[in-house]
Amino acid sequence: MGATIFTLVLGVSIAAFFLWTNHNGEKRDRERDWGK
Amino acid sequence: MKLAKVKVEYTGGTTITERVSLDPATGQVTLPPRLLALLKAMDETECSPAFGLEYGGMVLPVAVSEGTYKVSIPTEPESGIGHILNAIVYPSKDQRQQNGRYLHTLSAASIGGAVGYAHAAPTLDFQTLVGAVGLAGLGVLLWYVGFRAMKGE
Repeated sequence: MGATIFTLVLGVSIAAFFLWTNHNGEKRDRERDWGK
Repeated sequence: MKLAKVKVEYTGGTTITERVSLDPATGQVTLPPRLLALLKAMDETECSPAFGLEYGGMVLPVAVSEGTYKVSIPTEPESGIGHILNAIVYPSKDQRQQNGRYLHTLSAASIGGAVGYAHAAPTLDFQTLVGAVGLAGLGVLLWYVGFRAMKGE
């Protein structure tokens, strides 16, 4: 059961990390949007 | 002075791409007379355009004030590690695309792992079920996050 929990926590952490970086990148792109 | 590429996009669909001179120290943009004449002619029939300058892989908005064109050059972190961390935390559109591909690879591995895990177990007990469902759920989550990272404009 320990391995299952470890795998799930690792996977969710990876997903959350990339969701966060994706949000950061999109936000910075919006701030640099053309014509602003 | 450096050469830089600019793109002027009008609401009507007309797009002008041109090279201009850029002073990286002041952000001053010098447009060639041909482009100035084109912009003047377009102003008579079009709304104000989206005016962007490509610099260091970024598109910077060009501000127009009293006949002069300027861009605000962002300050990049000086140290090597800072530059790397900046690229990871603030990925560009292409980097987000690659992150999405990586997440889809992990998603496929998770779903494949769930199937293998379930088939390798001698009996379908509670622990096996939790492991397989967890891996499958993780596969769906990773697929969704990768899908979001790959979205276009």
